[in-house]
Amino acid sequence: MKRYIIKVFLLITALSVSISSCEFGDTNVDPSLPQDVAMSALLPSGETAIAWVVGGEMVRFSGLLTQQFRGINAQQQDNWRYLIREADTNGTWQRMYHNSLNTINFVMMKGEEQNAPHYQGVAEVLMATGIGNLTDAFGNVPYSTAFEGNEGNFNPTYDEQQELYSTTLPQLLDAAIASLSADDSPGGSPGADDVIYGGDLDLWVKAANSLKLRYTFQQGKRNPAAYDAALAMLPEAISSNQEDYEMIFGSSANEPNPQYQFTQSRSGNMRMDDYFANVFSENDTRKPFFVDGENDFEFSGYYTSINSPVVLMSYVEVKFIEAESYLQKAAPDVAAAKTALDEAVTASFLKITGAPVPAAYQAELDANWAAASDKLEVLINEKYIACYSQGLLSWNDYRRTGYPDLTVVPDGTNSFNANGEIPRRLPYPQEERLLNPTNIPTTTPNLQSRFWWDE
Amino acid sequence: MRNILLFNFCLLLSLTTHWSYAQQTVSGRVTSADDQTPLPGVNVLEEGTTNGTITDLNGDYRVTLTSDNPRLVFSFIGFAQQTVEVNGQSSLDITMASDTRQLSEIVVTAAGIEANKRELGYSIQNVDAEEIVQSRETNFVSALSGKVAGVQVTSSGGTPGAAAQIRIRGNKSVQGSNAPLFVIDGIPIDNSTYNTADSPEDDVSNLGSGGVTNSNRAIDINPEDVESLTVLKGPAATVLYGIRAANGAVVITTKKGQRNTKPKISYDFGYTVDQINKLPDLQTTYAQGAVVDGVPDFQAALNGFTTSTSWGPRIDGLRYADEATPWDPYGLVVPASDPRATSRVARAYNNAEDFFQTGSNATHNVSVSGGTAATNYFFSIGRLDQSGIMPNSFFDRTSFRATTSTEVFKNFNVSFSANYINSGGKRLQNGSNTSGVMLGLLRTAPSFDNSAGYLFEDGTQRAYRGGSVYDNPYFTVNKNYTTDDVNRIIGYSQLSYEALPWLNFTYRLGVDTYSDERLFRNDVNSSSVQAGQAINQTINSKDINSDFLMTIKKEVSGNIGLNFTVGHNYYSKDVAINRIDGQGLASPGFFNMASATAVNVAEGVTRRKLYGLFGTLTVNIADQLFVNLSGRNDWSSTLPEANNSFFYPAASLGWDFTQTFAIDNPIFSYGKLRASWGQVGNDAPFAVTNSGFAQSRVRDGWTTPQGVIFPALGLNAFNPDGLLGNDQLKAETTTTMEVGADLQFFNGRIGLDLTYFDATTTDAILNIDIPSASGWQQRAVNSAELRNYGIEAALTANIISSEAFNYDVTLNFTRIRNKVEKLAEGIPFITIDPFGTQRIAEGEPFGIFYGTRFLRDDQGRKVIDPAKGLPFEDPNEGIVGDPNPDFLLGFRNTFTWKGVKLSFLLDIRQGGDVYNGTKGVLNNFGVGAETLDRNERVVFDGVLGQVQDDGTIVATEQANTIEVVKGGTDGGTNYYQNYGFVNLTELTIEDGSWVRLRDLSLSYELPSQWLESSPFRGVNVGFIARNLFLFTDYTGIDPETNLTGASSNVIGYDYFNNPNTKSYGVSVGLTF
Repeated sequence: MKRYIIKVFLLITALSVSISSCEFGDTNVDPSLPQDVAMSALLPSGETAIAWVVGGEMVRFSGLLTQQFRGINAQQQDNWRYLIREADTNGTWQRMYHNSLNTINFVMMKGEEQNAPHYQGVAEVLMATGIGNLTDAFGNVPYSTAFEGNEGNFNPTYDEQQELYSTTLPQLLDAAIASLSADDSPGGSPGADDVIYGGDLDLWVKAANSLKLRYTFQQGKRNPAAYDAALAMLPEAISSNQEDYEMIFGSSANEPNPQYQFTQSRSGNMRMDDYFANVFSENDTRKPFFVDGENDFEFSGYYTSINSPVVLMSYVEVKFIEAESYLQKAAPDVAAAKTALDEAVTASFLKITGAPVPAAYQAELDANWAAASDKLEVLINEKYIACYSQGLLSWNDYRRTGYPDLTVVPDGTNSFNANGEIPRRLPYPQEERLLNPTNIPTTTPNLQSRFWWDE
Repeated sequence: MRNILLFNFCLLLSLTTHWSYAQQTVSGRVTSADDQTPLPGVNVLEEGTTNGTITDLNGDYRVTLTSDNPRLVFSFIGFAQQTVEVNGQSSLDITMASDTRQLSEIVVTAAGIEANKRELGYSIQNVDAEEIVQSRETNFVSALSGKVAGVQVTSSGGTPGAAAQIRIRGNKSVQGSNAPLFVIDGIPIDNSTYNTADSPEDDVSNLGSGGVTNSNRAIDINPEDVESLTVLKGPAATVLYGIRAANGAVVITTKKGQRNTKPKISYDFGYTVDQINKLPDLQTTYAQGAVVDGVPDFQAALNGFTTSTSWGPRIDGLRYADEATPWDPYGLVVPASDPRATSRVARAYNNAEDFFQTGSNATHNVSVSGGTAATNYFFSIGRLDQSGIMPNSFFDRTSFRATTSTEVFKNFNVSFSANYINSGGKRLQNGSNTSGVMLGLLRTAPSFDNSAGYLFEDGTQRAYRGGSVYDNPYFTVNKNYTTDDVNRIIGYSQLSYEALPWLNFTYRLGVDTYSDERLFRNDVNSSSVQAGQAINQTINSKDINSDFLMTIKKEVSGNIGLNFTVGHNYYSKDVAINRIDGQGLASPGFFNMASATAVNVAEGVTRRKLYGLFGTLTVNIADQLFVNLSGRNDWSSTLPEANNSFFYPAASLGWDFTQTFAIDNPIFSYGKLRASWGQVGNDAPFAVTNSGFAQSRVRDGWTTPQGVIFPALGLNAFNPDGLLGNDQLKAETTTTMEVGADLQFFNGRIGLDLTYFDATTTDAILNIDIPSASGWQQRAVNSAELRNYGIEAALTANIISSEAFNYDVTLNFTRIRNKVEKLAEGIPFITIDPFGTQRIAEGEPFGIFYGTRFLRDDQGRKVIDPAKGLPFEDPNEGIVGDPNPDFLLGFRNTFTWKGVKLSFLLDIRQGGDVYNGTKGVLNNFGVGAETLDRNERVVFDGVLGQVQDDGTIVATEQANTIEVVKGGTDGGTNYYQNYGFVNLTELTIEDGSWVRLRDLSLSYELPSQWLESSPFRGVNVGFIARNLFLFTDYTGIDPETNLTGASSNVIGYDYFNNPNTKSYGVSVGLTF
């Protein structure tokens, strides 16, 4: 018996030692995280994510700083009175670079590797959209050496804003147009997986041209010649509301628009600012689509419904660019400016209300235009309403032109905004100061420091 | 404490030498020296043979001797072992003395190896089973608080079933688990805490800052089943357990029956009532509202506002109007100047105090144990019912345990044990979460009564900010609760063969498996998810552990003994977490996936396989010098193939110098010096060696958990996961040096165990944050170096000892310092908490608080904003606190007088900051009691600052003289709101020191003569209490709290955490 037991134990020993040499196989691979996915599974994620950042956090920053919104609770209240800490911008930065643009960069790389120029082109337009929004918020931002973490580069350098505006972004968009215009895309073309244009490459080309137009126009404050250049680019741009570069969200609880979701998740954090609520003329039929009651923001408005669009670039904006370019160019053409302004306002009413401009409103606009000593103020005041909730536009316009003529909010002085004026920039996120200290251009958050196109 | 005593080292009876005769029979009776009663079950063994017997119920034995010059060894639990020369006698009556010195305490060390504590060269500490039961904690882990030097326990709150975090000798890993291994009867068990976070990826990081407080799974242990508990602290002690015990081990031995004993039936009952022990101070003077044009204005739901703050007018300046409103049962509230005002003054409410109720905790435990000559058995049923101090919350636990062991044939023992546990309850929302109970409760304006109804007829909420902004706490407890139901089996079978007197083989196979089914609810109109949601989550966890050990115990020569064990270990862990998120409920209160309009499914997996080979050799030289060498090699599945095998050694030395120098002094009776050095490896978390793509959830910090959750829009979508894997990872290593001494004085009446340790973890694996612009957010690296060092001291003293009265004290002292020596190239810190306030920073202690603070000049004076008269904030954040306590002290006092026993544990924590984010927000909201000084005119100390053209601020030498109204009630800037929502971090860091009466019990053992005619063998009745008082300067809830529970490495985090409790009640113990 004793021998028998010893044999049993010896057998157990032999067995247990022998399994030690087993391989572990894929034990350490998480089956819920595929090691590779198709471009068609990446594109919807990249598009939705970029729309979420632009239509969510960026719209909120722009609206709070230009008194379209009023923060009444939590950090929105702080941001409204110009207290924007570095930590407040971590989210925008991370969601743009990691969630949106890294995904898009994968589509760009895969498009090239897999000989799918149409995917590549769409991704390049999206990349140019994202980087453009980032530089308008932060100034110099990483691009040339960004998205290289998987190659071991964990400290991306910063691209100068001037370089981005004058070279990088236009080149990227030209490359996109070339890719999108390719006859063949053997590796596949976007279709239903493209939640913006449903695979319509012509519209993507127009979106690319419109962004080129925006980035050229935006340089006007530094270089007035930009206005003439912009006018020359108009024919290739988006030419109707139907062609708007926008993403429309869904109606299910798991596919909401970001502004809508903010009203749900953060009810009581924002109202419409008195300034914005009072800026509408009595004849402006768009107001009930933007403001509810006295100045309520939380309702099913044009931009705050579950299935609202997030506008990345609109026909309305193109028309305002046209109008302002005529007005601001070296040899102003005021009549052409007014025509384009009228078209912009008409497009806005059609887009928001589905109906044309009420005659009374048009008459009011005509009278204001005629009476105005600075026609630019009339123009920007119109754009302030018409491009409400379209990314950073209102804040960009304020920084470029000083309009609308806002009065600073009380208590707007703080350590980051010592003079209490409307901030000119967002602070670099805390994560950059701490994780990329050798490259970050400034470590002293100062919301009044201006960047290249604002100087 | 009932210790098995195997060796005796200085009690040789001097007997006259006689020639002995072979084949002789000897018999006799064994009695206790204490009370002269017979001792059944005493082991009687002929020395050097396997021949022996056990005394019967009358203490009698009879042995037929087989050798020449035979000696008999008598051993029994709790008594000093005796070796007696037979010298030809046929009758030997033995009196056994109880072992007061406890020098030969048998402790269970790693891999279930029993060792004599006297022979150990490292620190190890036992906890009395009685002490664990006496603490009356639902959570077994909490029951260890204050009882072991070097151990820190932090419960996450007083919610029924709340988790408790345990650390032995500090935090050694940056992101990996710092929790010790829990071992029951040689089988490692799971002590995970899984949070049902807002979203599956937060489940993975287990850092939910909202949600409900969940349990750590050691809560399933029925404290009444514990026979003894040993805490293994350093690698020299734990090396055989390998990497899983890299953070120490809590080794539990459960109760077993004894052979040759009659069945013993015990019944224990405990009942306590639980009450809230501490709440933040709130003001009840000022109404909801805000300062408008320099005048505090009453703004409330009843006049159409959703104002969050209570910066309104005095409540006693408000009046009821004779006008009904659904928001206030007494009528519309208006300023006294309003024409509608009556003479009825508006009421003020302390909503927080009114909300809590009395909870209760009832335990029943029945056990049967006993044994025949070849078999012993133990069977128990335990039941716990705990109801919370918050309405509608409870936790219950039912446990069945059966353990039996049989000598199937000679020297071959087979043991089986099975423990079935069913536990779970109803849990409430917590933390940073607009449905959190405390968030809605504490922020409520004192002019609003939460308790006057939470639901209108149309299904919308009655809450102080109107509808669904912050949930009314009554809504949240009734509508947003989470239920969990855990079914768990822990079992093992063990074969043990004593092949030769010096050779033993043991094989043990254990399994610990459970399913945890949860339903997380947010009803329709709940503020965090207005459309309503139900999350159905199932966690299936399976741990399998196999150990094979061969032990050789041999005396090589007269004074050299060897104890050698080699073993093999296989361990596998598989966890599947499946969750279904259903959003947009069809109907309020209908929490089933059929109710959801959008359903998303996530399958999560964690798995690990591990093989280990280990060996340990102890050499006992002349019973005074004990040398141990151990080593283990592990193969882990979580490391890259090239690096998945790693070896680590340990060595220790124990020297009983009182033996060497023959010190036999009644004052200084025993002394041993210890020194050890050891390493222990640790592997990586699951799946960090590769990078993949994650299913997309598009949202931001303001909308989480809601957003576009794919599949959505008719499409499925993925994005590169945020973590960049690393296929070059290798095991991390903790190297510990430890020296210490065990000293006993006055014949063991005073015992002192001192230890100094210094542990450094190198190549610590962590996921460091990387700039998002690199495309990823984190990458796994081997780089950090953490050092923990400190002093542990355990003192036991029998201060008064007399026939009738005894007074004993036990002191456990812990002082640990730690420092992050190195993090990673170019990475000064990483953030470990959900809000970015707590960090692991190079050159600093573990988990320092980092955040916003006042701007100070080089002399430390605050710099004042000349425009506002308030101190400037420093534009750069910095270190503002350290959560690590200076020392911990557990001080137990036990008095016994005849059958009466009074015992209490004072638990002292000195230092250790707590982040009181709750206070920051409550002051911003004007509900914190501090804001009662809102109308005071103050001049802030400091010097004026000057704003430069470039926006920087320069301090001047000019003292500030600007007088301001502190709360800005004159229209100036409000100091309490000036620095943002949560206020300056500097202002929210508070000292978390405390002195508390951790537990108290007063019990009476009925004299046995009273019971002679009753069916009882013993009756014990008592008064019990827990957390009866607490002294602390901390202004929030009980500072023993932690937002993220036991699952993370976050410490000292209070952000609207659920509060803690105090309890008192009765206990009854009956033995049949």
